[in-house]
Amino acid sequence: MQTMVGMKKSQMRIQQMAFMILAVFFFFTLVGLFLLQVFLGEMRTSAQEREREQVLNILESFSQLPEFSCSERSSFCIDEDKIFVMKIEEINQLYSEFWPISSIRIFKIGGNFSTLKECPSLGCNYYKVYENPEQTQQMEYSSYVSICKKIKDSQEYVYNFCELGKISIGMKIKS
Amino acid sequence: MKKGDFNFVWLFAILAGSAILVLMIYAAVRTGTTIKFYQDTELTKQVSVFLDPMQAGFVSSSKGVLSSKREIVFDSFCDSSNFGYQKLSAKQIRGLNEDFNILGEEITIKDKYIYFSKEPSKKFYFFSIPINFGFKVTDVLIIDSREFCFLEGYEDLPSFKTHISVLGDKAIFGEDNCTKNSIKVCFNYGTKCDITIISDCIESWCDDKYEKGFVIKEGERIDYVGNFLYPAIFSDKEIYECNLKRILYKAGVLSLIYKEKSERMSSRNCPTNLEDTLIELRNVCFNSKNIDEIYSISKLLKELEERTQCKLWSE
Repeated sequence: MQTMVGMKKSQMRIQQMAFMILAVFFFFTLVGLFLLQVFLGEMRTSAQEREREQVLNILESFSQLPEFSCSERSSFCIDEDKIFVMKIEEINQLYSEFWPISSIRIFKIGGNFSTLKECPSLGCNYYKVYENPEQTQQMEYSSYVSICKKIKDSQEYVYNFCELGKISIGMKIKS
Repeated sequence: MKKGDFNFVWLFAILAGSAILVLMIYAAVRTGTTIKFYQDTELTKQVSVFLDPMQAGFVSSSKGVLSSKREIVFDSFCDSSNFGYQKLSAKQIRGLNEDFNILGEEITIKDKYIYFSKEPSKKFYFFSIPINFGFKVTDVLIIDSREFCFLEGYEDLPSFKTHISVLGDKAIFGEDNCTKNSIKVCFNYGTKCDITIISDCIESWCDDKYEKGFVIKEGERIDYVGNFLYPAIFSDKEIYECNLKRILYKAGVLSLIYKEKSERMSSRNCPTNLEDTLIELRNVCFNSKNIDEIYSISKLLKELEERTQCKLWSE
């Protein structure tokens, strides 16, 4: 009879200890998961911040890229002829994924800007230079520029014909 | 309490306790490694973002300094197919064992051409140098921390001292000022040189003595033209050649863009007559990739463009 009581007491203690160990284990696991969540949140914010900085830097220097700039010494000036060339499929495909961005759109904001009409077409006012088809979410940053092209007039004088424009660059958002 | 009963309870507690302790220590070490990996990856991304504004611009060169409390080491993998890419990675050395000092995640960079030294340092100097093939192709970025001593002869390169001065006190000019640890850079000849720059110019072809030539370092010869001299001095041969191929491809694509632009301008009665030369440049950039030939065509292009009334890339 005494042996039975002793055995029951021991079993009870083992059970108590097992529950205690499990509780401690779950407690630390929960603390770990909470810390991991905080850490991942910070990481996500930091990654988004870096992407945003990158897009802003590209936006700042965009009009000086040889692929778009009016000339080697101009700033905030985009060459309209180069925009047309960059839209040629052969060249456009070469540049897909070259810059770490999701889209490039260039708007002519002089004249009628109430309705958007894609170029090249009569009375058009915007160019869709590049758009990543896999990017469903968009966050765009814009800057004002001049859109110019070289013209030779009837007196053989060569000048830059410019219009007011806006470039809009999409940031890559990781889903 | 029986003797056997006491032993079993304690044995169970010790075993379970040890298992939990081992698990927790493992989790702590893993977390530490992950945090370090994340910090190194963030550092690489920060460097990549920091380099953005240095890359494009109409100024002749730009500069910057990266300082850290810990020593940093850079590494990269370079792919030269078409536009290619560089996978840049960095690590901060924490003075622990090598296993802990693994590199951060690689950041793929397609729109930059980075040349760097693999020496660990707490302070790195960055500068950019424009690369032109008649028209501007890109700015290359150089990252270095080593001390260089440039011996007599650099005076023959008009802009050399200006470009190199961005290295601050790490750029020493003249043999008398060299220190024991500095890397000796000689021009055309010299004794005990770590790097020797040899001119390969024919006077009628070159504007200055070192416009074309080769660099000898660690027993290897690196051919250069124009501003490729700077990457040839600072970078190792593998990265130099990979980035050279990527830049040549970009020059080929840009000649195609300028050719198309020229055709559009011609249709508006503003001809440039550069189409044939641009096609020739594109073909050499894409196919033979002969740097001498590319540079000759580039010089011809520059001359022709200067003469034309309808400018393609200059004002």
